[in-house]
Amino acid sequence: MKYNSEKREIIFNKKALNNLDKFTINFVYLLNKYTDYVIVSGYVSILLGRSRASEDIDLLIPKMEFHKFKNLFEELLNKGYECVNTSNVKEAYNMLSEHAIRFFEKGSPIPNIEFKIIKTELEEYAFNNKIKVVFGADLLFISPIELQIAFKLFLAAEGTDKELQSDKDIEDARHLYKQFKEKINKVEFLYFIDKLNVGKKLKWLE
Amino acid sequence: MAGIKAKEVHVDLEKLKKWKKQNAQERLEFIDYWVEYIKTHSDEEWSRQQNVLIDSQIKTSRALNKKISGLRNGE
Repeated sequence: MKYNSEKREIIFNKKALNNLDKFTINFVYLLNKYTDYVIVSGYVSILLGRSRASEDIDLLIPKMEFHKFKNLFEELLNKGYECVNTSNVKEAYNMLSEHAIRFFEKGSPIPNIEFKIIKTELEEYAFNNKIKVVFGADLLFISPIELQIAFKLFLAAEGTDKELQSDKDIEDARHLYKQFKEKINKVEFLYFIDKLNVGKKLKWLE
Repeated sequence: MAGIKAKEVHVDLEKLKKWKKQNAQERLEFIDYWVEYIKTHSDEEWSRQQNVLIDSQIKTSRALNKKISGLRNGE
């Protein structure tokens, strides 16, 4: 895989798609008709090679008008997706302003998409600075690597010097850091490390 | 081990903590090994290996879910 940080683009050469990739590509194919999006959290690390699986894909979208959401919701249901939270579009829309809602392919709750409206400035930054990941004819948009690593450290449990951590978030952060450390924007990276107050956890990356 | 009761189980916390620390270290070392593998192998090759893990987990989860749904429906 080649990461061009200036173009904010990662290109795979003949990546073999797994079921998680296919599930995500199929879902965003429908989503793209209605809105832009950015993928955050665990699947970002997995897409970029981390050797673990996940039950869900976290996806952020900007606030949507009800009529647009209704069309998306109905198309998803017509194309064989189910919403875990409710089958009522109005209820789903109202829930979305409070918390994430989940979609899965009918009969298969795993994997599922966790679908959330952008609310914080960190989420807004992830969306506005997303990275395009290209594999053949397909593409996905993911959160910036710098923010992703810092946020994974934030999610990780507090560690002490005496006790090494076994934590998927630490492992995700380390995977991304080791893979892209020559290419990441150090100023941005350290800014998020500082803002998220995770300087003490940097030791887990090396 | 058959017949041992919960209150008879001795737990050596120090030994467990040592194991936990060693296990975490080994996992971190594997991350480094795997990143190196990705960097030195084609996308086609490493992703094929990664997919064995991901696809089998999804397959297992789906089968389990089907079984649980079946049990709930009295099948």
